[in-house]
Amino acid sequence: MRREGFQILEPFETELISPLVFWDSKNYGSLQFETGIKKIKVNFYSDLEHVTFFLEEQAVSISSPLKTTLSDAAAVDEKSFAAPMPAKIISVNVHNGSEVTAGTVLIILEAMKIEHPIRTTVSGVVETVFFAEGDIVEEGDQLLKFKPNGTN
Amino acid sequence: MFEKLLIANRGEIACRIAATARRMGIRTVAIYSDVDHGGLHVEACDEAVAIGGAGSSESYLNIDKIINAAIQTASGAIHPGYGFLSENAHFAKKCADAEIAFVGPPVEAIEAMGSKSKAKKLMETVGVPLVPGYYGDEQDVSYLSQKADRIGFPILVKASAGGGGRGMRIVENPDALAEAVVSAKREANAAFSNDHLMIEKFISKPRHIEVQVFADTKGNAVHLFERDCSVQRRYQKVIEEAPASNLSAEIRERLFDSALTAVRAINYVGAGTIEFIVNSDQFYFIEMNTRLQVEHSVTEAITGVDLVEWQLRIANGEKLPLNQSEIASEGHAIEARLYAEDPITFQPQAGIIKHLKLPFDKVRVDTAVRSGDAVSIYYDPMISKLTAYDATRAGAISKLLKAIENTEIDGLISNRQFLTRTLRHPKFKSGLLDTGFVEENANSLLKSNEPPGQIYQSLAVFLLLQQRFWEYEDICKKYNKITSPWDEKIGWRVNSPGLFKMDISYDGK
Repeated sequence: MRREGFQILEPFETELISPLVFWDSKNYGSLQFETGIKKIKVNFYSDLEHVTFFLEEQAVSISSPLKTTLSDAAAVDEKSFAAPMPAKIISVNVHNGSEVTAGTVLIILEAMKIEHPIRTTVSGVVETVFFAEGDIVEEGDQLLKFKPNGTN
Repeated sequence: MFEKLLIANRGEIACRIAATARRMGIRTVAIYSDVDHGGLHVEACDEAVAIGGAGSSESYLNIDKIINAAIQTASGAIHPGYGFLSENAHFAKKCADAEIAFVGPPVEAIEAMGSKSKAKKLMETVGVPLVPGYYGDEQDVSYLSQKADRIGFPILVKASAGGGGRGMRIVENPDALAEAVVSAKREANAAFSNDHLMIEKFISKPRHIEVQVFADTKGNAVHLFERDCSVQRRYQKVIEEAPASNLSAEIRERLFDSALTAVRAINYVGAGTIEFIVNSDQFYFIEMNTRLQVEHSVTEAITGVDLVEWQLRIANGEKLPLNQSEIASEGHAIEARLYAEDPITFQPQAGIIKHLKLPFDKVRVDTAVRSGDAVSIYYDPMISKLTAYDATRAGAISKLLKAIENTEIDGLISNRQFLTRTLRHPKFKSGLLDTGFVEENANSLLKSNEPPGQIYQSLAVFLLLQQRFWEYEDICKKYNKITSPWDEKIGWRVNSPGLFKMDISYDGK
């Protein structure tokens, strides 16, 4: 459903002249503007929290979450060992209290039938393992709590 | 011809098979797991049977449930597609027991090629060239280590039953062998329920060239030329083309001869692919895939043959529709696989596709997802195959590039930018490709993007404000609330220009 939106009446960038916005639906449309040297037409997709511009060579996403996350500050100094993707845990090689050396594979994840070993780059002690073999984890889930050697 | 075909697969390949079956007047039956009930492949078929949970072992790999679905729907044949049960001899046998035609080779042929080590032993006896290696039954690490020393490092450890890079490890030195063997065994066991490994000399940066073959039950066998699948990441193909460029007519003929020798050695029937690695003027057999390949579309483009139609005819006992001399190759075709995966780390992504625009008007598009569909962690994260065809290679590259530039995906990360960078790369354009291409050109192919400029930042803020204004308007309407400027969240102020502060981020920065 086409929707009428605001137009930008004045240039808000000296080099950006007369941008026009066309909405094909509430979330999708195109922008036309001139940068002084060339005319550009770019499609975009947008919702309340992000905009993605579909440029020829790549897509550019810019986001502005409505709620800011509080966890960033809390995670300082501790390696987070977050799952890099949604996955299944196929092997947990350590337990609470395991002392490990740098390079040790702590946990092995499997996603799309490929194994992804989670290693530690430093020596230290595994304080808590949060998941067991067979568990499904979401992207960003903290897999374990780890204390590097030499820290209190 | 059988009246009804059950398609024991999902995704784009199930849709693609259904399209040919429909054209031939064969009714189709889809099967679907719990998470696939709204899938496009279900819509593409005339009937559909729910077969269980999302995990493949409960559904697309569950032989009994699939056979039951075929019996229940009175399907005369089952097409396994690729992946899942397509190379499972036990499944083929179960089909035969239930008097259902399996659209694929005979059980014995699947078995002969199913174990890579046994296949290599067999190929050796008929004179198909092999990479030096150990394909025997002895699996003890110390024994494998002796064999590896004799072959010379680096070596490749891989699962006999494997494919797609799973259960495969490159081992640079003897110290790393034990860990590689343990982890390859585990991956192989999980993926193929078979942890038998073999080792072979690792040939660095070969080309990966495969020959499409077809054989019927009357003893006729033909090839449908080659495909070059050298552009790979994580041992998995991402761009394939036909014909292979910079390949001499003499080697090409020898490849075809070897492929047909392999086919005859196992009394093959149906569609198959013989994979070779090619190193300057030498080539070696790696494996035979006893099924339709993902990249069959490039062969279809240059030959004009519908490979699924041939598969169905042969499964019906008909003879090959064309003789070798009647099969011609014309023009050049390139296929790119658009995946939901990180374009730099190649980590698979899962999530909801919020927006998807595919270039249906520019190239052949094989897909089974739409805006709003999910890419789940349970299955292959492919979004679409895009196949461009033109008289020349340069023309096909340019068409494919244009098509990908017109492709829009939002909601999850895709490898789109990796594909455009590859197609634009001078080395790719030169056609001098080998399997080291991605790694060697990582600097240009896998570099991070520049942050967006001021213009896009400003435009993004403008669009986000628009979205939030609309959201506010909609909420007011919904609750029948009188709009008051004091309730606005977009920075309205008395007697001065509106001011609104918004923090924006790019790539988490």
